[in-house]
Amino acid sequence: MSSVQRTIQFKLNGEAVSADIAPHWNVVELLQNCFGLFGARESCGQGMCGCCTVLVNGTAVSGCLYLAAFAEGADVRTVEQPTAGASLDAVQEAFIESGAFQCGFCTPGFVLMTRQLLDENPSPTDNDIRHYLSGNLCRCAAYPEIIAAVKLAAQKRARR
Amino acid sequence: MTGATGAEVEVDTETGRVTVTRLVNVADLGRPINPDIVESQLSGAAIMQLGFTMSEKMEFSAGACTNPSLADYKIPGMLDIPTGIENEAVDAEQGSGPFGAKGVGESGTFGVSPAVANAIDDAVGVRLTSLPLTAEAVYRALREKQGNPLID
Repeated sequence: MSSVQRTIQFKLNGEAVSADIAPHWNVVELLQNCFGLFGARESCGQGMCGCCTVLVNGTAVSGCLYLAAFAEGADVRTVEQPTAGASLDAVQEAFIESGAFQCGFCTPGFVLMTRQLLDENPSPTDNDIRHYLSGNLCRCAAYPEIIAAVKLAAQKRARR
Repeated sequence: MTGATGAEVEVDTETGRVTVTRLVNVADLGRPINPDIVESQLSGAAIMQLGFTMSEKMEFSAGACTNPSLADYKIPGMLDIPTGIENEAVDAEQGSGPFGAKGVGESGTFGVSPAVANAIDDAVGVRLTSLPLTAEAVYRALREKQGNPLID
């Protein structure tokens, strides 16, 4: 473990937290080392695959490229964020019901991006979905199921 | 296990770029115990093989891999998959398997590469025999067919 060089304070999934970090850590290392949160996973380490997606101040970023020090004072949200009232939200339910994963490694990134897509565009077309999610890679290639899950999540959200 | 694939492609003869517009995957996997998961396995395996068929190539120089990253070694993303993809298990029963199943996993990979290569041959009359079927490979083959091969 690297030597600690500074302490940062920020909001993590709605709670005020502080963490002792090394200056070179990225957000994935921050979440895994200090909070035991493994939903954001580093895969390519280049911002190519979307597996490390987290929301910083409401915008999806690649956790592998985002320095932990920049999270100072920010609102950081991960796939572990508790959902209000229900145990799962519409997107998580839709992914399960559509079987939109095989191994599940990429799923947290897809779930966060799908929420952001549906916030921006509540009824996306297939083409909208393919373009919006093109920065997330799934090696098991559950892409057709993921597209179905996004459309199902849109319907579920509209009904709620 | 037995698998078969049919492919429909578009070839841009100016650039050699191939777009797979339709992919139909069928496999004999015994009795599908969970039909949804079987379909997902067939489709996922076929798309993975589509990556090996169209773009994925490890480059080596002096024994070292020179493209060990997702920036230089391209696996299929959402925009690379055919808009028409169909998957089906044939009616079958494997007497020696649990509940008549054989198993599924990579059955969807078997036919993809030859199906796409055959479709390219059918479309523009060039036969490629090594993977991946990149735009460069198709374009070189087209030029050779015209009697005007590219010089390295």
